Amino acid sequence: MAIGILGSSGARVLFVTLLACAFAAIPLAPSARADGPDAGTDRLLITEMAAIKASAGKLSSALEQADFETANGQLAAIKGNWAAVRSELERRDSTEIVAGFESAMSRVSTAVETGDQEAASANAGQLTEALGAVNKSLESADFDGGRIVTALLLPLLLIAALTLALPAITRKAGVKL
Amino acid sequence: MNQPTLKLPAIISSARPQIDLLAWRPLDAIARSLFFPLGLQVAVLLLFAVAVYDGFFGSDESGENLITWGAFTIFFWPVVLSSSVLLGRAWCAVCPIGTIGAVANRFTIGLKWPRLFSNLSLSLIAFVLVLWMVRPITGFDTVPSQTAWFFLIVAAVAAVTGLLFTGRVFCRHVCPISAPLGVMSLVAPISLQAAPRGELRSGPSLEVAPAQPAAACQECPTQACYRGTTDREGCPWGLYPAVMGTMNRYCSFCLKCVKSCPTPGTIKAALSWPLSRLWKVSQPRVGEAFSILVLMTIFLFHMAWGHGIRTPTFIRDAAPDVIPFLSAEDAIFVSVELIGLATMIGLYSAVAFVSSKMLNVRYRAAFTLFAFAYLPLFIFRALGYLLRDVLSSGGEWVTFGLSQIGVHLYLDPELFGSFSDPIFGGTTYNVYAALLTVPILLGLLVAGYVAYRIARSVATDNGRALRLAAPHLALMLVIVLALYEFPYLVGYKIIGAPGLLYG
Repeated sequence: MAIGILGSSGARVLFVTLLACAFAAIPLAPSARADGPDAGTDRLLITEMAAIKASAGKLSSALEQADFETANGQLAAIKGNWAAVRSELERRDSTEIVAGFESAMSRVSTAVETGDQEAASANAGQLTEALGAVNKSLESADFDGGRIVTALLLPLLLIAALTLALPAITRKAGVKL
Repeated sequence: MNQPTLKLPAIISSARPQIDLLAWRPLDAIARSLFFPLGLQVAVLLLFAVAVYDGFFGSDESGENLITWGAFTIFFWPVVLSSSVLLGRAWCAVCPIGTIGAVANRFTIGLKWPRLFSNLSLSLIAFVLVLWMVRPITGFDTVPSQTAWFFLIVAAVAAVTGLLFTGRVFCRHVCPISAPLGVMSLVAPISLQAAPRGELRSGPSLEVAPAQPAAACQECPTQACYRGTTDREGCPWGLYPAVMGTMNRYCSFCLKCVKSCPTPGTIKAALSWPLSRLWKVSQPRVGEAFSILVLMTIFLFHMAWGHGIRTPTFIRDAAPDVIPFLSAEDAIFVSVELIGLATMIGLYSAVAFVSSKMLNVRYRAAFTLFAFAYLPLFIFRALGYLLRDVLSSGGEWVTFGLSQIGVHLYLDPELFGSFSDPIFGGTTYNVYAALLTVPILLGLLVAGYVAYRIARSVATDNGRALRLAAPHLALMLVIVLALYEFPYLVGYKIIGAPGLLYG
């Protein structure tokens, strides 16, 4: 009986609907240009987070060897990539995490400037912990309702319109499918 | 179109009972649905349009732009590899470029495609040129707008070809991935057929008895699967299921033949052992043999030698001077590929020559037939890489995919740990090495078995088959032990350096 139901014409309609839903992962708003007018809307943090993590690792290594020049460079790199992450965290109202990370970064920066290796290393450890908190916060999903609805509905409507119109099109235009 | 002919074979081996997937009613219902594959084609075409739009107006970061990320992280190789290994050329049924070509083909002026190019030569040349020349020069795999332009140009070529020529000429003979997809599809366990394939090889060209058409096909007055009916299209690829047996490299599983066939149940989606079709290739072609050698080059030399310090020093020193119009990095990359291809063709040609002498057949027959034995080396190696990529970048893929539909989160790309190259700072060397070496060894075993089965199809007894397969087994061993990453991996493990060849 189950096979009978699955093979029915109703199942075909369901099949088309499911297909439409599966392929509804169509982004209607493109990924934002980092330097464009909507630069703040870039919510994909793949490159930024990877760069911050890499820089944090190199910062710790540099401080272990008292290489303050490299440490300064890595701090600058972290600050350069931080803006997009901060924007996303603020959007999520994670102000405590932002404050914690920036405070740790500031302390490392001060220690590096004064050449205090011990304090710099300790603060770099706190910076890594703060980065862990940032990562954890970003791991929770934040839903963009408008985009979800549009991404689901528009392709669904387009495909439904096309498939509903298909018999008429094939009949009138003589198109063979 | 020419009238398809049914040439009945004199001798045919007994056909084994086969599992027909279309006997399962839900699948049969899908196959007969008017919306298949149209619904999928429309959906993928929409996705393609948005990706191209994103290429022009989206992020400049290749890893964050839908077209570049989609094309070079998801399509190559995960989608191409997994779809072809499981479902043959099924991707071709929903490919947006193919869809554009097919729509244009509805308005064709009906020119005949030149016979000279009715093979895989143009496709293979396009594949090699795009990969080894156009890509390094334009950087279209790293610059989103270039990626978008590239795909628009390919779509335009497909449309123009569709407008000018009869049939799916672009998909069959011009598309840069047609040749590699054609040979990779032979690995798939599913094939569409209306007839069992003849298996007897004879003569200096090792001809195979043609497929024996099903009884219904012999009596069919309409040949609707090929020609279509008044309201249904025939095979858009110009194939005639009644005689194509199990060895069709062009079938895209669009299932239009199933829809139009007047005798339900005649055309089957037959299930066979994965890779088993490799030793049953009825009409092996030179283009297919070269496609396999190119694929092997990509995954042997490119992956083993093509990256940074892995590249032997003599190539690193000489390449920028030999190819001055490319950047030093690209010149090294292209040099590695060209040296690799020349080495692969040279070694294989020599072994194929030995096979032709042992079999007393034409050189071309041995060259084309035994090439299929090497395909598992590529397939297993590529699957190993795919698994490693999923493990090391899966989090990033999920992050990107979900963000496109409005679910924003950031997952650590290395969800399952660090699997990066140990020489470039990875931490889990043993896992990394296992993911590369285990598939290579499995591939070697399977390739050896396929070589034996191919030899068995032309030999009178097991002993002769083993002797015939021996040169190929030796070459496979040489390839794996000397040219693969073994020197690199083993050298690193034993002496803590990438190996003698690597500076």
